[in-house]
Amino acid sequence: MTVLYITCAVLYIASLIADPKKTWRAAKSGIKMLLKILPQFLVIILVMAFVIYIFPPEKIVELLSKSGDWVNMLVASIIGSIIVIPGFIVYPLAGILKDIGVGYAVLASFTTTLMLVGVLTYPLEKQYYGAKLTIVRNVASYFIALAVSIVVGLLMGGLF
Amino acid sequence: MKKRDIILLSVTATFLIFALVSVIIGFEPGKSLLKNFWEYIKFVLTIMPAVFLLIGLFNVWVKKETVIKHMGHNSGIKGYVLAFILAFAVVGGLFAALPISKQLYDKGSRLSVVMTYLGASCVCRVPMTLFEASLLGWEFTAIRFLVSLPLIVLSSIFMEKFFGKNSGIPETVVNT
Repeated sequence: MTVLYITCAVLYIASLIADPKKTWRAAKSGIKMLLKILPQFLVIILVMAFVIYIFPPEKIVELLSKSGDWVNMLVASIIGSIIVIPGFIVYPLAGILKDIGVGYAVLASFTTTLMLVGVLTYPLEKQYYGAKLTIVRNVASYFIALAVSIVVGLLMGGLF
Repeated sequence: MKKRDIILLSVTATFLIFALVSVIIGFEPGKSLLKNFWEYIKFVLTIMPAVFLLIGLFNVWVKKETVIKHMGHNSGIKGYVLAFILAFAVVGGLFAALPISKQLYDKGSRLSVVMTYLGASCVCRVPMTLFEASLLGWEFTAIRFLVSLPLIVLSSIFMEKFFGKNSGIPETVVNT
């Protein structure tokens, strides 16, 4: 994050030296774009806070440690698709899942859908790309995630 | 301000009032909701301003012709390679990748390249990948990359082919 701000500062100073007027326009357009999307951001974050409250990590662990691997893989992909959870929850959670013996295929399906598919972020993505493309992209991503988990299962065990 | 934004902002405001009251009267569910909310919002408030300021710079300094040349319809394989490099280099996950990719699209990058960037930036998030590799092994990460990245490119090409023309992508160009 520090790197990000240093980069930002350096580029702005360079830009300011080159053309103050243009720099002012850059800052203004950046802030405008942020403000435009901010109300949507806030509500998505709010919904995420609720989802994490209803589905705390312990509950996800419980859900993923019950039935067979194929069922678990699908359950994991559905949970992963719906929720968007930040690193500070994903990291310890994946560790716990591995320790209780959840298979690699299930872990792959969980982490990959978590990263690629976003049901909760749909309203945000829609603002940028429209409903049609957003749906197509997320459905395609879901199948990509399933393909990844099946290959992981084939090569590392846990499915067959 | 649009009506939709007013509704969204009032939802947030209502929650904040509820959270505040919860803290005062010691209502536990409200308190932990606020804690979750705060953890997320911290991320948005710290990373997003810098990301959007950089998008702003890109917006005024980078010419449309440059983007078209390197990531447009005649960019060939180079466009995809650039999309991957960008995906590895930029932090912030989907929240940052969405506005960045849209900016590239508005500047003339072809849809398949933009979609590749978007997908790849979700898969190749560096901190997440490092953590994953140390926890689940490099084999796991390697399989994940080798399977998902080609599929992302393929699906992106597919999306451009079928939705490239009238995809109904909303305009987000900010004129200053």
